[in-house]
Amino acid sequence: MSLVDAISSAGMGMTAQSVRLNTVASNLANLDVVSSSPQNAYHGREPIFKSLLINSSDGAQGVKVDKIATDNAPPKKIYDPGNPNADKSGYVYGSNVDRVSALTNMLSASQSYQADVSVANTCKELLMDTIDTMKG
Amino acid sequence: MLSLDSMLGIYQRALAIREEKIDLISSNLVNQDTPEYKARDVDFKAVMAQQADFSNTLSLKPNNTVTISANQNNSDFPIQYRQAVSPSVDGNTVDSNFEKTAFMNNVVQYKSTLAFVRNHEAALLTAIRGE
Repeated sequence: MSLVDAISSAGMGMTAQSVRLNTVASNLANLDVVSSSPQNAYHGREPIFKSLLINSSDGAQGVKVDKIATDNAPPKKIYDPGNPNADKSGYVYGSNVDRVSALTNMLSASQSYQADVSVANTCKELLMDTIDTMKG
Repeated sequence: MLSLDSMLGIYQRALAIREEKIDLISSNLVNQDTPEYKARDVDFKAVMAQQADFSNTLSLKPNNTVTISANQNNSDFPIQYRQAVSPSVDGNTVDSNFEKTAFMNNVVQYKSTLAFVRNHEAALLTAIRGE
C-alpha cells in the first residue's frame, strides 16, 4: 500500500518540520538574552534531519530528527558596563543567533510543512477515489 | 480464455507504477531538508516496457495462453536517482519545485488511469450482461 506509506512519510515530515519551527522559535525568543560569560551565552540550535526507510518493499522513506546541533559561532560581545551581568571589563555576551537567517529558516520550515500537508491530503484523496472505484 | 487477472488489462500495472512514483516523490518532498538525501524516482516508460509479455495479454486472441502471474513482485521497481540540477551544499539533490510539479503530474495521471478503469469495468459489465 504505497499511498498509505506516502501519508505516513508526510506525517513524519510534518513532525520533523515542527521540531525545526520549535528550534527557530527558541532561537528568536533568546535573541536578546545576554549573559556574563561566552560559555553561558545562548547558542542557536538547529535540528539535523535524517531519512528513514518506512517500507523496504516500495522504498518509501520518511524523515526524523537525528539530533539537535548547537551553533558554535562565537557569541556577540557587547560593551555595556551598566549591565548587572557585565564582566570585569564591562562586557556582556549576547546570543550568536543571526536574526535574518533564523527568519529565513522559519519560512523554509513553514513551506516544507505546507508541502507535507498537501502531500498527505492529496494521497488521502487518491485513496478515497480508488475506494470509490471499487464501489462500482 | 482470458484470465480474471488480465481483465483490468494494462491499467492494473499502470496504477501500481503511478502509486510507486507518487510514493517516491512524496519521500523526496518530505526529505527536501535532509542532508545527503538523493532524490529518487522510477521511469514509468521503462518499467512499462519491461512488462512486454504483459502487453501481449491485451490482444484478445481466443487461445491466448499468456498469463500474468498474480504474485508478480510489484515492489521490484528499478528505483533510480534523479540527475541533480542544482545540488545544495549539504548534498541534498531535491529540487522542491520540480518535485511538486512531478507530484501534481502523477496525481493527474493516477486519476485518469482510475477513470479508464471505471470505463473499462462498465464496458466489461455491458459485455457480461449482453446488453
